Parts: sequence; structure tokens; C-alpha cells
Amino acid sequence: MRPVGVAVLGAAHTGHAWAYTRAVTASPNARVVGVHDPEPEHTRWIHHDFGVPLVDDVEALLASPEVEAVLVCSANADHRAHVELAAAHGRHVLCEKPIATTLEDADAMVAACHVAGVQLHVAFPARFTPLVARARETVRAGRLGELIGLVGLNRGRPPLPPSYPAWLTDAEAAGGGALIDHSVHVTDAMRHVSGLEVAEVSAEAGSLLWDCGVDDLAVVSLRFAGGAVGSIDPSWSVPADHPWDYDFHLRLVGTEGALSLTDGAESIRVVSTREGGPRGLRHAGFGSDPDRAMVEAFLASVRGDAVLDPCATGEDGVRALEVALAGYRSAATGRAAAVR
Amino acid sequence: MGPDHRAAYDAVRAGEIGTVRMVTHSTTSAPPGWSEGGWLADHAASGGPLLDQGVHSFDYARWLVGSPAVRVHCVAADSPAGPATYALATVRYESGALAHVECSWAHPEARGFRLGVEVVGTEGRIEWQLDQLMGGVLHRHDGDTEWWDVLGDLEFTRELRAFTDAVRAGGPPPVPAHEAAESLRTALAALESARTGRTIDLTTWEPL
Repeated sequence: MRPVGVAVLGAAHTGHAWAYTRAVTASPNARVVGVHDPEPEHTRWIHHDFGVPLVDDVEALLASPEVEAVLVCSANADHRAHVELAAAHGRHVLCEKPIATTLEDADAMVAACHVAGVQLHVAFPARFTPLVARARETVRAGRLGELIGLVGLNRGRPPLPPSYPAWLTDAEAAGGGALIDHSVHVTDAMRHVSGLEVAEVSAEAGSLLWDCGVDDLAVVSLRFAGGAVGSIDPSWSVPADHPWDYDFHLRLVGTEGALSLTDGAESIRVVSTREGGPRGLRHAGFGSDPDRAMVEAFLASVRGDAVLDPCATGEDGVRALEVALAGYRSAATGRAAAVR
Repeated sequence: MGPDHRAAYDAVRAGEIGTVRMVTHSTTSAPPGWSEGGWLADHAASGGPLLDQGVHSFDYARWLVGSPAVRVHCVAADSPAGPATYALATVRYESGALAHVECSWAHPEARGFRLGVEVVGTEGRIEWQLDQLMGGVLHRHDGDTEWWDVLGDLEFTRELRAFTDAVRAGGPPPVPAHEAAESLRTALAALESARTGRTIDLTTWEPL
């Protein structure tokens, strides 16, 4: 079978655009046809490391018969325009999270892909980690009974320039700060594992650590339909010189049992005194690459003409965005907010 | 009084992590079995885990943050251990700092008591879990396993020592009663928040 031709449309999320492009490049099932992003800084490493051609004419790139699928890794507020463009050309899409910065945009993206008859996937790599997959089987098999409480943690470094593009800490372009950036991963993992939907959200959020203009600390409390409660810590609270960069935890308790997951288990402890490299204690991860598994599942879905489990769809992206936006409404008003 | 909590407090007061911005304190267990006649399981008599355990978390967070709580929000769920026996509370302090408190009696007996603490400051971060504080483990051929918690009963013996020392010295109390009342007030407000779904403004709130 001929490899799936992939275009990268918008690479403003430089880190993820690079990682997903690497995954496509490494796949025997796909090839990258080209990348379009008017900002040379966004495409520099993709071009340099993987030899991906830079294409100025976005219409020509998307119209190319070589292209069947598109990766959208632009700034969050630009996702809609890029996804709609891809859909208009009949191309399947894997869109970076959060799906958008407003529900209006997110709903329009889902509708556009539906009308065009193309798949819309949203990049939630946590679904592709073996621990989350095993948790889902365990919960769905009823081994925890009825769920009572769900706690999710996804903390990370503050994505500050110059290591990260400036739009990531721009409230307009990103839709907010840590709350929208990380909570969507946790909300999606909770929904994916539990099958529960969030009904109501309360949140506290603030710019309390890095003076970066958007929220860097937040706690999001959840009431699920059916009575379970939960919380998410999506904070950018990992300082320089910390032994790890990001974490991901899920702790579930149900009427029949409790389950605690930590991705930090997939690491060894390394101390280095070498000049020039990261010094001191580091937790060096050895887990499988969920980006690669996610991209392979996307490609298999495109080839098979059906969204394969456990891929996240546009609707999943909308559900996670609803929770984040309700969190911002709650943080602004001091009152609980319904998801819609 | 626990040496772990005290060490974190000392590090914070020494300025090692800058200004405290967020405290996460989690205490989870099965329903405690120690209460005489089971009064602890009676929500009306005990207030459940928010008053039994949560009050310690609110007290500790307040002590680290060094600023009064201004509002609290709490979600709680029922479990086989009783009503509102799993709770997640978020506190905002006057300084802007946040605390997030998890307390539970909904966990399986076999898991035992678990503690997890994180303190995020403007210049660093502190974290520990009870699981790391097991200094010894004894495995036997008959299947019993004994975990040696390095804290042991130190927090209780230190608490009693501080109490008797203060009595002998004629005061002051090692933990002032008004601080205990403040922690209780936050916990009671969290209970009301869990019941009503509303965020409680602690600057104006009056307990019923």
C-alpha cells in the first residue's frame, strides 16, 4: 500500500509540530509532502532535521494529489482557519490541542469536517500511553466499581520565550495559560478512562509564579454527571533545575477499589556533572513514545477510512475545551460554571 | 509537629523556595476504625474527613502560606464509607496563593493511609509522599509484610512534648487556639460549599 501523504499546516507549536513530523517521517506508512508556515522560525527545525520542503503556496500544497492528510500545529486561535482549509480540500486532519480557543470555533471545525466527510482527530497523546490504556480497561471492566473521585495532575515547565514561541503565553492566541494548555490533556484522559462526562466546573487560576501575563497556577474542580467529583492541577509549576520537566498522574477511587497512575515510573535517576549538559539529578524517561503511537493510529485511520480506537475525535476536543473554558468562567466569576 | 511537615516549613521559612504560591495536601485512607462506638462514621457527629483530616491540611497550608484564607470551594462525593467521604477543596488566600486539599475515607483498607504534599514557590518546589518515608520493610515467609514508616508516632510524641513543655513554662500554646479555629472555619465552609455547590467568601461568611 502506498504511504499516506501528509502536509503540515502551521508549525507555530514548534515542539509538537517537530515531534509529530518526526513521527510521520519515521513511519513506513507515511511521508511528509511539505510544511506551510509563513514564519521561518516555526519551520526551521522541521526543515533542517527532516528535510521537509517549505511550501509558500498553501492552496497548492493542500490541492496536491500527494496529500491525503494534514497536521495542524498552528497557534490555538488559528486552528479553525487551518482545519477548515484542510476540510475544504477534502483532507483528513490531526489537530493540535486544545482544539480551539472558543466553542464557536471548535463547533465550526467539527461541522466543517463532518460536511466535507473527512476525519478530525485531536492530539491527545496520553491516550496512547500503555498505563492509560490499561487504566481504561481496568475501569471499564468494573474493577473499581462506580467511580467516586478522579484526580489528575499534569504539571510542566513554564513555556516561556526564547525556548518556546511567545504566542503560548498570549491570552488571545493561546486562549489562556496553564489551565487551557494542560487541563485538556487531563480532562480527555479522565473521559477516556472513565466514560464519564463533566457537568460543572469550578476553578481558581492566576499568574502567580512567572509574571508571564497568563495563568500559570490553577486548580480545576469537576462535578461529573452521576455524582463523581474530580480535580485537575494543570499548573506550569516546574522550576528550572527540577529533575523532571512534565508529569502526568491519574488517581481514581471507586466503590470497589482505587487506582493510582504515574508516568514518572517510566524513568531512571541520572546524575551528570558534565559541562554543557543538564547538570545535577535528572529523571531520564524510558517510556514508549505516545506521539508516535498517536500518529500511527491517525495514519491507520486515514488508510482504513474510519477513526480507530483509541483516537480522539473533534468531539473529544470540544468536550475538553468546554471544561477549560468553563474553568476560566468560574475563575473570573467565583462561581461554579456549567460546561455549556 | 511531624518531622516531614516541619522540615518543609523550615525550608519555606528559610526562603529556599521563595514565596509560597500553592500547597497541595492529600490525605486518603479507608474509614478510620479507631472511634469509640463509631462516632467518626456519623457525619453529623464528626463532619467526616473534611473535619477529621482536612482540618490538618487547611491548618498546614495556612501556616506555610502565612496569609489568611479568603475563599474556599469544595466538591464532595458519597462513598460506601458514608456521605461526603471523598472531598476536594480549593482555598484562595489573601496573598493570592492557592491550596488544594484532597481527603478521603473512600479508599480500600488494604491501601492504608497515604499522604502526598507539594509546595510550589516562586523560587522552588518541595514535595514528598508517605510512600517514600518507609525506612524499612520486613517480609516474612508467612506472607505478612511490615512497613517501617520513619515518622512512626513522632508527630504525636512531639505534640505532647510541646504541650507539656508549654504548660510547664506557663505558655504560650505551641499552636494558638485562634489558628485552630481558623482552620476549623475553613473546613466548615468547605463542607457548606460541598453541600451548596457555592464558593464561600471567607471574609464575610458566618457559620450557621
